[in-house]
Formats: sequence, C-alpha cells, structure tokens
Amino acid sequence: MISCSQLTRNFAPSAGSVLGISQVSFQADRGEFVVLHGASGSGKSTLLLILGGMLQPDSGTLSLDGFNPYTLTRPDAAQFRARTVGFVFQLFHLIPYLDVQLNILAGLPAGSPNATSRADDLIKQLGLLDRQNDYPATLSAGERQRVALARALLKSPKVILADEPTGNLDPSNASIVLDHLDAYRKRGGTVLLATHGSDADRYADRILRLDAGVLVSATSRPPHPTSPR
Amino acid sequence: MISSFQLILREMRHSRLNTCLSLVAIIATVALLVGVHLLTAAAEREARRVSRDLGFNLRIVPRNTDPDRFFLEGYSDQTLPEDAVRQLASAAGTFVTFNHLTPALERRIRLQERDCLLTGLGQSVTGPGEKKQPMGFHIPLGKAHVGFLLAHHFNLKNGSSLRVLNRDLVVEKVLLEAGTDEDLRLYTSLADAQTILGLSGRISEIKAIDCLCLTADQDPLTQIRAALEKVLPEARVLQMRTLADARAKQRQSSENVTAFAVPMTLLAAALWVGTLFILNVRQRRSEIGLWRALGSGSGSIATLFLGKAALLGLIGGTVGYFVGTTIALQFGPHLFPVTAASLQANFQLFPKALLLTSAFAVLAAFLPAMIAVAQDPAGTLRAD
Repeated sequence: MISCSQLTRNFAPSAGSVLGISQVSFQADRGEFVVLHGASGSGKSTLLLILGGMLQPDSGTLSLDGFNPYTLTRPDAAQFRARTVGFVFQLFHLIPYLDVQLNILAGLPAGSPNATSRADDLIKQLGLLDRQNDYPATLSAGERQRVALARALLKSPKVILADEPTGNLDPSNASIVLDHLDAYRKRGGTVLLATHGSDADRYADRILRLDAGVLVSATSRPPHPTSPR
Repeated sequence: MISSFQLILREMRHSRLNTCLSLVAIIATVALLVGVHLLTAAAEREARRVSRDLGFNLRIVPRNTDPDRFFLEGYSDQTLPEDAVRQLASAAGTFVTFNHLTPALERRIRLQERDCLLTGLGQSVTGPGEKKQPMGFHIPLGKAHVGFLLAHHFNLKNGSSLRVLNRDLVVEKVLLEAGTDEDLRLYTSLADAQTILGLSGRISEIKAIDCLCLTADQDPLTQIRAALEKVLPEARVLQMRTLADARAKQRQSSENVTAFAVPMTLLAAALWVGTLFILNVRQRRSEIGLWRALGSGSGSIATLFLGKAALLGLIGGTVGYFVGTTIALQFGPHLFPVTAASLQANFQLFPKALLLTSAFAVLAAFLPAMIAVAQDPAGTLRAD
C-alpha cells in the first residue's frame, strides 16, 4: 500500500526549527497499523505530508496504492489524494463556518452517493448526534477530533495519515479515536499514525522511530488477530 | 457535498467584519461613482445653461461681409436666405460642431429721432433628438423685448405699445441693464424684423454655439471653418473667442476633475478591497491547506475567493447604485438649482454598475486569490 525508499526533504535555514527527513525507507501493507514515534521536530509531520502527496520530497521514491502522486499532474494528484488519502491532524483543521455534519461531508466531492446517510451513521458511531448542527467553536477538543476523524473515514480512503491525533485529547477521547482507527484498519485500511506518546502502541502492528529526520528503528509486533492480512 | 456558492455564503456570514468592511468599500465606491456620474451630468447641464446665458459664441455671416464694417457696426450688412439655417441643420455632422442655430436679422434703425439696433430672432434649432432648451428667447409675433436704455428713452414698460417704422408692437419685456449695446437693442421675432426692414426671407447671420469646446491653443476655428465650408460655402464664421474659450475651459476643467477623481477612487477602493482579501486569505490559511488535503484543486480554491468577490460586487453594486442615486437626488437640486428638474435616476446605469462592480471586485481579489492558490498547504498543516 505504502512503499517509500530513501525519501529526503531538506528545509531552507529560514524555516527555523522545522527539520526535514533524510533517507527514510519503509513499507506499510493494506490493513496495517503503523505508529511513527519521534520527538517534536523529528520530522514526523513532514513524512506524513510527503506520503499524503502534500509536500514534494527532494529525493527518493514513493508508491501509494501503486502510484507516485508527485508524477501526476496537479488536478490528477488532487483527485488521487481525495480518493486515496484521509488526513487527521492534531489541530483538527475543521472549517469554522460549517457545522459538524457539513464539516464531515466536506471530505467528499459533490455528488457522492449516500453521503448524508453515511455521514449520519458516522455521527452516531462517534457520539456526535446531539452536536451535529453545532459549529467547531462550540465543540470540545475531543468532539472536534471525532469530527475530523469522521471526515477522514467518510470517504473510505485506502490510507489514513494521522498526525498526533490524540495530542490534544484526554485519555477517554484518545481511546475513542484510536478505537475507530483500529476498526478502520480491521476493515482493510492502512493507518500511519505519528505520535510522541505511547497510547497508540497497543494498536500498532509496527512501530517506527524517527530521530532528527532519520528512521532509527522499526519494531514489528505480532500480527493482530483480526487483521485481514 | 456542499456547493462553492453555499461555502461562500457561509464564509461571508462567518467573517462578518471582513465581509462588512469589503461591502462598505464597494458600496461607498459605487455610490460615489454613481453620485458623481449623476451630479457631473447635472453640473454639465448647469454649466451649459450658465455659459449659454453668456451668449452665442459663433456668428455665421454671409461670406461677402466686410469684416471691418462688421466689427464697427456690430452686424453684417449682407444677407443670406433664411433657408440657410435648415440647410446647415440638415447636414450630417453639423451638430458635432455647432448647436443652437438661431437665424437673426440685425440692422441699425432710426426710432423717433434716436438710433437703435433692431434684432429679429427666429426659432433656434438644436440637434435631432436633443432635449436641450433652445438658446435665446422666443419672441412671439407682434411682441418686442426692449433694451434698458431704449425703454428709458421712450418710457416703455411691459405692455406698452410701440410703433417701429411700419409695424405696431407690444412690449413683452423690458430687459435688465446689461452695460453693453444690448441696452440699445430692440428684439422682435424674425418675421417682424423682416417686415420692418423689407427683407422678407432674408437673415443677416446665424448665431450658434461651438460644440467642440476646444481652447484657443487647440485651434478650434480651423475645424469650425472647415465644417462650415462643406455645408454653407456662401457663409463665413466668426468666433467670439473669449466666450468660446471660457466655455471650453469650464468644460475641460470639469472633465479633468472627473478624469482624475474616478481612477483615484477606483484605485483606493481596489487597494482597500484587495487588502481585505489578503487578510481573508491569511486568516484562512489553515482552511486552504485543509481543502488541499481533502483533494481540492487550484480552481476550487480560486473560486472560493473570486466567487466571494463577485458576490460582494453584486451586493455592493446594487446597494451602492441606490445609495448613490438617492444621495444625488437628495442633494443635487440644492447644488444645481437652475437645472434641478433635469436631475433624475439613470436606470440604464444599473446593469452596467452591477457588471462593472463585480468585474472590479474580482479584479481587486485576483492577486489575493492567486496567493491563496499558490500557498504551500504543508506549511499550515504541519504539526511539528
């Protein structure tokens, strides 16, 4: 599903403390839950953005669902991203002027079949039924992250790239988010979750560790009993 | 799952301050321009009326008029057929150069042992389809307008009877003291003057206004003479340069003010709207990054900003048109009392105002929209 080799991205000195990545190579299969560890500034977000087709690497190769998004034209790359990748961010990135339901639906292109009923299902599953008409500013951090997760899940992407999705959440909300990501993995999706904590480790099939932009270790865990692999 | 139009509406409602400030800029600009348009037209009408009252500035006289004698006497002792006016008026392009063509017959006459000037004025002819009120004054048959001194000499008042050679006239109006030869002038209808002088069907000149409105250094006389030569070769034209120059300068200065003020207003408004859109783009950096992450292309991102600009243009254009018109109609009559009745809303301007305002707003938002399109989404989405 994800295969990258020697991915490198350097930032200009003016970018300050943000570090790039250097010579990162790994693979993640369909239905695999990969946790990416590293301290703040270690390059986790950079790697996820490169994998999601949002940040072109300086060198190295990438294959995502059989395509290298950086060889596609801009419109094709945008469509590919819409179809293949779901993002969940630490800062939620909800659209402030859309209510919960429309924020979730914003993840889908116009005209997608059964979108509203699928969004309603996700709203129920994620416990947002009584907040579906509320705006992001009135939601708690946990609720916002659940909305962001629902937005990513709605389009049933091949890969979910989650950047510190539990970084701003209490343990209870963090568990809800991780449980749903695990359920998505069990349905055959691939999860790559970047975190500097350890709460996601119990869901991981594999744990990668980045240090100053370099992949320093990759630890496989026993296959999950319900994994489709 | 939500259309760009709905997104734009919701965002405008969410960013109330930015939306309101943009709308204020657009409304103020459109109101100002619509108001200026209406008031400039009113000012031109007023200036025309005022300069018209200064008198005709062109005198078209028979070609064989002796200029020395003309300037000594103040009129031509030669004549043209009265039909020359119709001939000039019906020629193509005449009203580009001339207007208010007024046939006149002038002579010095002896009236009860005193010399005076008799001027018979015919009906003025204006350009086809023009609503301009003809210059000069219309004097009915059998009536006379009497100069101040003349009235004083013969003790004439409104309604007095006056016998001029073979014709009995009634004084319709005693003119105010002018301090010129007007004070010794007796105005009658052209037909009465022709009867009195025994010059039936003849005129001594055509009085007119120069429409070119060029100042002396722009050599209007050559153009005026060339235009007349084509239509009425048996006539020549003399320009009262001081009057013509004053009229041209007045009009040109009004046009210069408009030519300076309109682009300046548009530039200021474009900078205002453009700056607000740049602020809007900066505020929405995270949102733009998210749309990119969700798979939106450059066209969709640009549509969010250019569509918003077009919508603001439509709303601002509509409100601005009515505000500008209302202000012009409210204050115009006080500013231009002479032509107050002519000040009316210009509804033909409304669709133009909408179209141009939308185009203007889109243009002002174009650079910010391109900044949004070119924005690196990774920079706003990166957590570490």
